[in-house]
Amino acid sequence: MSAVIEARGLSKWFGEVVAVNNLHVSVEPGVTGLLGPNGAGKSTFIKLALGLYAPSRGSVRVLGQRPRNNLEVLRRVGYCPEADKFFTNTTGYEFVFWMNRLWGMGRREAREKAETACEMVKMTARMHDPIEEYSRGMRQRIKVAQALASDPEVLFLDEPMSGLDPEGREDLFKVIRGLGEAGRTVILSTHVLYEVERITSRVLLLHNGCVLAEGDVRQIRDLIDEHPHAVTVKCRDPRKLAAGFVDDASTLSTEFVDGAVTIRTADPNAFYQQLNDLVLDDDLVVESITCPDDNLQSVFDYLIR
Amino acid sequence: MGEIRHQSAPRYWAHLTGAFMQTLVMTMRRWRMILASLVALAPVTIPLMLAFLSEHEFAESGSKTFVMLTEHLYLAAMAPLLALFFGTMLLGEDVEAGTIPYILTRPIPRSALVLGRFGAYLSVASAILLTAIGAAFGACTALGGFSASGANLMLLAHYAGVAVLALMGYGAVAVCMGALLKRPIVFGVLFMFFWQRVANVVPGAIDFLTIDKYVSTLSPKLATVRADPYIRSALAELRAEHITLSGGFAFVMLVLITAALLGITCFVLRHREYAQGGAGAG
Repeated sequence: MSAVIEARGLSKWFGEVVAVNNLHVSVEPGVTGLLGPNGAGKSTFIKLALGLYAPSRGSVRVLGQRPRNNLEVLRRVGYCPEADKFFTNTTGYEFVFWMNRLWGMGRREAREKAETACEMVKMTARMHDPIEEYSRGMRQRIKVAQALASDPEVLFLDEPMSGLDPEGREDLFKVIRGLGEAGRTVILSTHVLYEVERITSRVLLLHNGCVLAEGDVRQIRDLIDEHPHAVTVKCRDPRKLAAGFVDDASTLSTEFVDGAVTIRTADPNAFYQQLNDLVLDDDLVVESITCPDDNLQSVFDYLIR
Repeated sequence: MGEIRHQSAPRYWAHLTGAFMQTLVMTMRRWRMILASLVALAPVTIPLMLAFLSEHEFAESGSKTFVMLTEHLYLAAMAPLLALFFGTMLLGEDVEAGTIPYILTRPIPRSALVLGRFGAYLSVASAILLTAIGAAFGACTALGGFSASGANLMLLAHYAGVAVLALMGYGAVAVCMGALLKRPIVFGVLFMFFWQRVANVVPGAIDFLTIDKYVSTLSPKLATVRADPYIRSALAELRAEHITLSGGFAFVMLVLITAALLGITCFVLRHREYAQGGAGAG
């Protein structure tokens, strides 16, 4: 399968700030999750791929061509930016319509495609309301609609889920999955691992402008399961619970705070098994178990160490 | 969203009309459109008030009032003001509002974007200015010695043409500033209301670096006998004696300046990195 987006030694800096650093990336058709914490270089990479920025060093190719000032590439891509910005005094439908007109569509085609795109993101009922009256989630849907309207082969979605309610997320998951199944290339930028897991198994992890990991999302999950965890257990007798782990070699530390104990373990799988046994045997009443490390940021912290 | 279809390239005309219509509709909805219209129409009350005072010692002829209003207010002040009002926002507003990434990721030729938007600006600003000049003409007929005769209508048509050319020249300056600078209004005010005045009174040829030089050259002969205190200065008299232009040269210069500035705007749009966020955006 040939690469739709290909970066070779791609770097971008703004003054002394390096936003993207020597990136070697190859993206194939289907949905690819672009993961990374804020400031990782996700948006910069997308803007480089769209030709909004010129590379400081290296090159990026989209559909086999350099994207900067390349109208042929722009005809085949769609972009949903992260920023929540719109023209003033417009309705959602009008915004999509005018974007279509600027794309080069005639009035009739622009109208039809704007209606179809609004329908895809379930905004038909409210599409003629002013954008100023929309919720954040509705504005997000309109941004996605304008990106979908031209039926692009390659779609760049920069944090498209932010502000969406659960129903909106589910709708968008379906749309993105459908696009991937139809052979489109979708780059989904997010800092929430869960969002990517729902849609695709292919991820690209960025951190400080570099590729930290590339491949299957399950490998990332495995890394989460393997790296040291802090687990906070709130129960009736935290000290009794902690005593059950003290002699365990994988226990790194214990800390008591407000009726709960936070245990750091080097072997999360064994920890959870032992916790299960302790709770059953000692009849400890556990109120809650939280794992602050079970997120993407902790994986990054772990990987970059 | 079915199988991938390769889309044919839209025609240049489709992009041009898209940019023109989008800008026209958006501009018509702005409060600044109403404000600019009111500001432009306000001076029409001057000849009406003068007509009311026509029996008094301050009475002015309709002809002189119309020429004074058109030259000193509409061409020298209102045309640059409208250019600042509408011209600077043509691209500058999208840059400031953060909507420029949407536009620059459309497959629209930058020249079509600039020309379409400039055409919309020229249509809106011309409609406002020509309506105001026409209304001033009508109001001046209420004063003595001025009627809607053939000669006076020719004078009106001449001023209308010069007004459109003035809007074209000033608009090109404004749109270029909007694409190049962060605070185009500030720099626009400095150019139009400070630099042009200074260049007019300093001896030498620096007034060639103004739009006003060519606009005033194109004004009807009747109006070239000015009572402007700037021009009355000894230095300016000296300059006026040495460097005079023909109407044809002034017209060509205005067209060339406009084309050059719009060309620079297209170049800037192609090469500048406008996308919001910069480093650290995620």
